[in-house]
Amino acid sequence: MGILDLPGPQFLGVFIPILAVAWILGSIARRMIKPGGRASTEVPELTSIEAAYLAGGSRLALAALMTSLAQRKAVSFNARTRGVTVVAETVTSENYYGGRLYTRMGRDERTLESLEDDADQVFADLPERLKRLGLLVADDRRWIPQATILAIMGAALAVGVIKVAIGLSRGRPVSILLVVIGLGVVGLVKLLAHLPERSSLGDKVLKRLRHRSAGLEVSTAKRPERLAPNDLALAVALYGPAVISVGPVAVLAQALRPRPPERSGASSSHSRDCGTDSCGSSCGGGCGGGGCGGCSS
Amino acid sequence: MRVPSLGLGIGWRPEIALFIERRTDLGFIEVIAENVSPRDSFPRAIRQLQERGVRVVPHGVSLSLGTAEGVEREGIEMLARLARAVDAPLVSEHIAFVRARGVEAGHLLPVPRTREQLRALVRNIRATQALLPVPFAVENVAALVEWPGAEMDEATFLGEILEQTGAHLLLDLANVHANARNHSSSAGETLANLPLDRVAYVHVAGGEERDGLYYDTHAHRTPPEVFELVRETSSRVEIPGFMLERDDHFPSDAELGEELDAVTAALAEGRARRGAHVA
Repeated sequence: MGILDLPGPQFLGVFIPILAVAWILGSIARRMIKPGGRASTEVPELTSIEAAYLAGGSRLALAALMTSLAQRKAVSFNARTRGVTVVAETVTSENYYGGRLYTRMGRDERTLESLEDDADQVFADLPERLKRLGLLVADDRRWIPQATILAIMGAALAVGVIKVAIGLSRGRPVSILLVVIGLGVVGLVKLLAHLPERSSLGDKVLKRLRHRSAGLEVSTAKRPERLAPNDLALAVALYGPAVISVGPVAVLAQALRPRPPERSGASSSHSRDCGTDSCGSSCGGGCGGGGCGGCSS
Repeated sequence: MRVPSLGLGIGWRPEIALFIERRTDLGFIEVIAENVSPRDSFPRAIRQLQERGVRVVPHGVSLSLGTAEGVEREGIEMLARLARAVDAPLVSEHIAFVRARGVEAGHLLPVPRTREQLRALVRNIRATQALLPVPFAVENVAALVEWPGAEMDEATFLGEILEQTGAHLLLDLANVHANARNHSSSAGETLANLPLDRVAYVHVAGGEERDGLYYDTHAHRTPPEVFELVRETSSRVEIPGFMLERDDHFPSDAELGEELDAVTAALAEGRARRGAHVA
């Protein structure tokens, strides 16, 4: 007797585990299949801003850039108003994204929130560069994880759909099965939504950067004021703004920490699914709602 | 037990972990044993240096080798565990006492240079060696004041300790300089009378003079006199390792790098002098 010939309750006893296993396999595929579109395994060197974008999207890149500028004393931060003001523009020639940010900031004080709204524009050319390097999933290969997840979940769901058809043809009740299939579809949609943008190579590059920068994390936590602006930016990129808890830049860094997502009216325009390992300790509870500089996994 | 060649080193401190990570010519780092745990909080940054081949020397500050009532077994066992965990080439501690009758001084206090004190030190060092899996080196400390009734000079005292225990010497040249300045003795003479063939490695550090006394602060640039002692030492014998100590008022990476380079240069000059003598 085949699975489709089983009576309703027994079929559900088999179908639900099949659906659960398919969802787990789909989750694994979601985490594992992240094609970068590059055959080479050569690991490129990244700037601190590129690393920040790779780790947490445009919001983390903005956090890295802001802390770097504050370390240079090129911007000042008012904790009361959460406002940032340009105090020296001398760095624009040496910092491409600093220049782009300055252009958008102008002379007036801007709140961190409004700067975060502009972050995607400031770093607009970064995703393409990271895709060229194979660090983000290439647009023309995005279908691979989607198709894999669809195939796995679709096969499981198809068994249920066929059984519904059989049940209807025999005049049997199928409402419970429909509910189960509905839940499976919701699970499928969740798996397909916000697929990780960082490729396997991107994960590898970040892992390597974090591994070889253990001293950076320790020194940043202890005496961030000793660090060069670019080093501080890299620390934010790899460990999040929370790694800076002392020193002159600490107030700004704490303000740049991801905030819990708002219940209503929260913009998700910055969301960038940055992979599976960027939601480290630095992101805390901010992950899951785009609060980790865009993490959604 | 012999001490292997260590090369150039520096005292590992969190504040300069990044500087150390980027310095590629380091052969070893010294870690304050009481600040790292071989169990759960051993810094990843130190492990990473080890992966690069940098040796790790645990340096104790609280064993209190000079305490008459004996060293605490737990303290030695902690050092031994750490030595095994980091595959240390040796372990070092100070010829000093930090506690007496349960009272913690919070400082490395100099010991009186008497026969009675020597016996206590030898007993404690032997007890420590018995539990350590690696060679043990003891360090001469800086003393702002001298205990009355000294029965021997510093070089003789250190020589006696080394001879009776078989321990190695962690020669702190900054402390030799500080003691010479504060007690109007000759650093060169002290150096000449020390058993330099027993030196495991050398400490170099800076200090400052306040109210007529020289303080071995580890927070200032190494003075020229200490670099001259580096030259003098390396001109006499090949020392396994030289390292810079910096504990506070950390300068820029560039300045710290210059100081390490200066140690390397002084070493080379000393070796050249030795070569000239041999020739």
